[in-house]
Amino acid sequence: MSRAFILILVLTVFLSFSACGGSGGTTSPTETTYTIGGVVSGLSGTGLMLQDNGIDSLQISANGNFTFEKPVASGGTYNVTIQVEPHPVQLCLVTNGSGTARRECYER
Amino acid sequence: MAAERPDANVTSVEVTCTTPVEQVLYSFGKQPDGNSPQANLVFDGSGNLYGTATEGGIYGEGTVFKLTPNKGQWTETVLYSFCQLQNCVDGATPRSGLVLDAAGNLYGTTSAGGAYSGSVGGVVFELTPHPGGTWTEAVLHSFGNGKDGAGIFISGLVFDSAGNLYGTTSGGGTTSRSICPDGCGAVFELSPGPNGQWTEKVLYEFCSQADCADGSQPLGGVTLDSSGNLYGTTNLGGTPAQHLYGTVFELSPGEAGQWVETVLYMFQGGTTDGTNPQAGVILDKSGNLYGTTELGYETPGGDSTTGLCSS
Repeated sequence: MSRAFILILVLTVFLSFSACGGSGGTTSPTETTYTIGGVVSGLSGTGLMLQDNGIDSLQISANGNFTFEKPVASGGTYNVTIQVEPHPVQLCLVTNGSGTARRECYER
Repeated sequence: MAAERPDANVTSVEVTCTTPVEQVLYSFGKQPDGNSPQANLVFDGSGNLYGTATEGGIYGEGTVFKLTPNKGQWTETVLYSFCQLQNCVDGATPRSGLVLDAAGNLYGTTSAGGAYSGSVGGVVFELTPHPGGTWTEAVLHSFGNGKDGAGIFISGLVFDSAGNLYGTTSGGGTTSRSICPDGCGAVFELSPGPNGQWTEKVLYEFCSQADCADGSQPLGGVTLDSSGNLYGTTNLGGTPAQHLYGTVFELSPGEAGQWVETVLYMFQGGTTDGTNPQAGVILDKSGNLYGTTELGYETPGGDSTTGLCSS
């Protein structure tokens, strides 16, 4: 096996790992953090408030993507809940609302 | 090959909101379909609903009905009209919901009628389905012969794993001249025998303690835990010298067939904890109890409000 081929192989593996687990949304010199977000659908009322980890509240005014303001440290946990239901009354359910913060990857 | 999403970080949280929509499945009042239903419904395995109506029916003393879904429409069928027999010995005025056994038989209670309907009575009944859609009723027990319990409110039933039925009566049992002169209520068990006979046993008579500190007049049913303990509420009794606000209780099977009552909580009658529960309680996986109170909380002496209790 030629040295050039081995070099290409090593670089490919390195780039693959760095793409999925490297720097997050907000990076400091000492800690990698990740923003927590998702998508809201079906909302027709007003006043919906989400909360992450019981401390980070986020007002939602429309359907679509959302991102909490406070990032979570790499390896830290997140737990998204409904803090205030919308008015007029709707039932809002959170799916995939808790887990460990890491960069999300998908297979292609 | 793994790759990061374009916007990176955690983006998989989904919040889905839906607007509740009420659909009237059936409107009562087309006699003799029954009217004034007060109790909850129960599903069978085919998606049919079963319930009771306190009034109406062929004899005006209430019904057991079935609601059958078909292409978005629901059809009501009266399975039984109470007071078919002289003096309503088959029961009258059902106020509670039904339970189903594995064979599709329905079990419930009535708050009047029965063999002792000259006084406050009531029955536990069974409805058995037959081919062709007919149902027959059998009275498993008639209340009102004294200490066996009785009352305007006789709760719904719950099965244990051995096929015994448990419930409460708001009257009967021990009497207290000042608090419950017609009886302070009881928790009962009905056990099936080998020849189709059912035997009633009073597990506990409320107001057995001074000032009814152990509670009196339960209006809701009981809940079973996996160890066979029963949990419920009393509408009155509890706090000594007040005996007005009700309790949450536990009944545990003891030695020699005796049951031991423990008051888990006495409602205080203030503005913070609620008073006078009418419904029973339910258990979560951790053993916490949840229920409601009719009165109390932020409007003492005012309109009804709901509360929550946990032990």
